[in-house]
Amino acid sequence: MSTTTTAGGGQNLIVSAVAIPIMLALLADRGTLHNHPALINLSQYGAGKMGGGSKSFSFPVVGLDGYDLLSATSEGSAVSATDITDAQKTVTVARYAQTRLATDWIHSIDPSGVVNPVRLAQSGFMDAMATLTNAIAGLASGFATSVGTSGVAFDHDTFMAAKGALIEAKVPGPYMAVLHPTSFASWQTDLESRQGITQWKPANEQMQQLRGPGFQGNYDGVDIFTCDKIPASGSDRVNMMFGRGAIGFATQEIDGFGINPNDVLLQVESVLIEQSRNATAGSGNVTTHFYFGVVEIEDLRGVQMIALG
Amino acid sequence: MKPSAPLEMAQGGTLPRLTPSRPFHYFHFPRKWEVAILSDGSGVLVPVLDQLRLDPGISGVAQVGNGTAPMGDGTIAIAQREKAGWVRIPHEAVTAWGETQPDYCLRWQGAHGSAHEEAWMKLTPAGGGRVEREWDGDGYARWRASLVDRGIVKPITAPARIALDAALSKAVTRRRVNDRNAVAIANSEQFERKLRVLREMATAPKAVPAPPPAVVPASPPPDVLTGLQATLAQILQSQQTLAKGQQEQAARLAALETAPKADRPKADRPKSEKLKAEKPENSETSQSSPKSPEGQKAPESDLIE
Repeated sequence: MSTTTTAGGGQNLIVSAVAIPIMLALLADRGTLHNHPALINLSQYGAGKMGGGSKSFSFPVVGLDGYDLLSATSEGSAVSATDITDAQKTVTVARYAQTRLATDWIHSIDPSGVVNPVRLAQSGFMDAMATLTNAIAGLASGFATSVGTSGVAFDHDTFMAAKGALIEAKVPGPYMAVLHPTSFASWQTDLESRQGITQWKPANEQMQQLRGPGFQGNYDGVDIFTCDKIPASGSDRVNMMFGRGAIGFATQEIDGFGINPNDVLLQVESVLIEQSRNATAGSGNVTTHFYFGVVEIEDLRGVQMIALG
Repeated sequence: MKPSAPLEMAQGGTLPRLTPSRPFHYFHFPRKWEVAILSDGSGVLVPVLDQLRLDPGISGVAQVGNGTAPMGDGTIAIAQREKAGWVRIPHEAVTAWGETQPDYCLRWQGAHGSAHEEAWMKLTPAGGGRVEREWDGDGYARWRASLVDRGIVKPITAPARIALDAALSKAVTRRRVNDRNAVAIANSEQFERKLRVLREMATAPKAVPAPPPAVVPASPPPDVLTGLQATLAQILQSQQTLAKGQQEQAARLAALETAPKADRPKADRPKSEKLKAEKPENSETSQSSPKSPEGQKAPESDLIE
């Protein structure tokens, strides 16, 4: 019985490896947070419009609609004026950008089709959304209220304590919880072992479903998200839960200065992606521009959930 | 492996895959405290610290420079936090993993840019650009405790202590409901330990601080007030010496009255010899002990087994 092998000759008939037309993406957290109604998009109220005149945009927060009670006033006497409690919040926009470079040569021999401007523009948009998500997650470090404790894994009691803290602070819904994947996995383990009514809740079952990064379902009216951009504090993770009005963000509309309209690959949600050509180097660039800012609006509307991470 | 040393960090020419991150400031909110359990089982009450990363566009951090600024401008963001009641922790040298580090925020060179980590986070190459992380929890806890001892962070207030006690008690109570849940039991034990430490600290007798020794400067400084202080200290010391001398004299006289004549001491014994032997410890002893970078050690009353 003969064995076919290249050892006996014919090595020059083959190449060491051939690229096949498939592209598999490396692991990354591709979930986005900014469309959730618990977040206030300040650009919908005028921040970051064309010709806005500033990189920063302010807005008031006021104590109306039940913030102050009326005073018991005797008949015929004048009532003194009650000052409106107010403060001003400011969101500051900054520039974030990225460029991908590809040579003509690589573009010509790439069988997967990844190295082309349109595909890189699509990737640039997702990178921009991930950057915004990263910024939103980073605000978890700023809440003055916290539950849980360092060195102890996230569990259902920490979740309930956070929800309770928001209810005690009179925070209206919808609530949004953003957990680091490690904390979420710890919570799953605890839910799996829970007794009492917790084990019979349909939401408990929902939390056990495998969904990948991003939205994990709804538990007790709280939309649960996982995000690996949740900040660390030593060996712990600073997860967060908040209601509408805790966090806002603004994006700046961009008009490319001197840009050739034919070079605009994508312009969506204040993300501008353009291509440019360097003929002398035989290469091209796909550049993503994104101008945004995030801000904590009212501190008591959010709570940290500290857990071993 | 050391921070900001890409050649040492590299393994097979590969820089570590660290997520790039900006420098940060530590802040403390007066209401946020926790009990940190050290590796020897003891506990210490420490302030909780949060980071303000200098990421442009986040929490009021501005972007400065014409494309050349390596980091955001946190001036406004810091002012806003301080106005809201947060206390900024000044950058200083700290002890982490038994070594002195120049700051609590250290920069590491990664494959995709610089990463800024806490000084207590030890990074070790694990091959192929991977990095293993170890956290010096004891060092971090001791440094946080020293912030209180050195007056950078005010001690916990009674309401904050009560709130912490209530939060820990609530956590312990909730977990008792699930007495057959392994996760609940494990977490409950940790919460109970923290609660026990907190309560022991509250009931432990406070150590009475020893009065500081009188400091007499070697040479009178030019400042008028300081010179006056030194003069007063010298007068005080002279009075004490005189009083002691009088007491000794009285004792000797009493001894002379009771003892036989042959045993009487000589009256011309030099006084200076006796004074030298009885001189109390002065400021030299208090200055002899070297200080760690974060200053003094946590007081005994805050470290309870």
